[in-house]
Amino acid sequence: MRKIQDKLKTYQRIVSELLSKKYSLIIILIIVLSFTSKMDYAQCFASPGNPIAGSVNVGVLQNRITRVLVFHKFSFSNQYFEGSNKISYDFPAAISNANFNYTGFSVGYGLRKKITIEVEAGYFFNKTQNYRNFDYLIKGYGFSNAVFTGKFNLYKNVDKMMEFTVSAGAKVPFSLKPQVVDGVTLPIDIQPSTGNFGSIFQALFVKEFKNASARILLFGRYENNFNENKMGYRFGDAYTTSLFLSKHLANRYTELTKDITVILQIRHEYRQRNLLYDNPVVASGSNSIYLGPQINYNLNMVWNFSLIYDFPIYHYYNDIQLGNSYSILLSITRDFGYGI
Amino acid sequence: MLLSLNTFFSACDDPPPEEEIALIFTELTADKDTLTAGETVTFNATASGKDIVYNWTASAGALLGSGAEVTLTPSPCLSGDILVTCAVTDAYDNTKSKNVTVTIVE
Repeated sequence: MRKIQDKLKTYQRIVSELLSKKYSLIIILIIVLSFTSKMDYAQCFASPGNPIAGSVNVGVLQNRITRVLVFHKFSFSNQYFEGSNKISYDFPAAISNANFNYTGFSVGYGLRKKITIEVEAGYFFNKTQNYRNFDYLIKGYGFSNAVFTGKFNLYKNVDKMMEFTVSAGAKVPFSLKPQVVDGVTLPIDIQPSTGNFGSIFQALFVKEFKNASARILLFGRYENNFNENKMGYRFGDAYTTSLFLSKHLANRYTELTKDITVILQIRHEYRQRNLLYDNPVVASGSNSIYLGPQINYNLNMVWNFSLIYDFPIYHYYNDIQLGNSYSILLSITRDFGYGI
Repeated sequence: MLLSLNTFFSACDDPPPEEEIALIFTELTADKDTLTAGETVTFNATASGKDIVYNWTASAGALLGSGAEVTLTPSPCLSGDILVTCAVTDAYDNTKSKNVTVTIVE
């Protein structure tokens, strides 16, 4: 009984700390970063650009520490939506399902105590659309975009176990030329590279609770595109807000679980309408909320293995679009420079 | 003397220069010019020449197939005009192209 009361007190303290004025300011800043646009539109099936890899690599690294992250993501879509309603779409041009396999990597380096530089890129092994009424599929493959990022730790309080980090990055497509397979230029949805240059801004707030072996992480990301690509396409701006609640299973249950952390991610994604030759694409842009249970295993403090299952709990699509059904992400991270 | 003989025999061994087959792109047709959202439209290119390669692009939507015939499968979101271009290239790197516009009505 006493234990339960202690736990309740701990959680009460967590909530009250989060609601206190100084933290609220940071939280509001992250939310503002993620919602600064008009809440309107969505987009056709595949999320453009590089898929994001979970929660492992979002903060700054210690000075002279190098972190290498490799991840693989499989994403599957097979449900059409009209607004927020699932619909049965059986016209001749209907896609029965679409999927992609993407392997990404990032290398981060702690340049200074508060500054980390990072480069990320990835390769689509396939970006496939299967057609319902044709015995046919179309497939794109290749490198996506490279992203060069600088992260700066604005605030860190070791005693209070919290930090606030911001970052800015530049997005460079690997190819400006649309991919052609068997003499046919692939549609924009399955082009491996967006062909758009752009920028990415991120903000991260982390608060740890030692007694509860828990961590709360609030993450905001804004991604835009500068130019029209060779197909006349410019992807809409994307705003992502994620709340990660993590619980380290140290000293719980058995020896086996001591290096395991369980994480629940709640993510909101908002994508503005795409532009085709400066005209808005009617059925593009979306508002989606995803849930992503995640399990992390840490080995010797330098290796981190992570498995995420990501699925939508709410979708809103403009007009009729094929919506994402689920994705699975496996990542491996290795830190270098600790002398281990 | 030897040089001129050698030249004479070499000339006899060479096959006569091949007459270039002209690249002719006769027509590019669509089986309909207006369609409703969700319908498909098939395009046919008629061309003659040596080792012709067909290259297709659509201003929107996905093209299925390859060679002289492809089918446009516009996503449900699309409406308005879609420009489909077919470029044919022959073995001598000659290229000719034609366009067809189809309209998707809501």
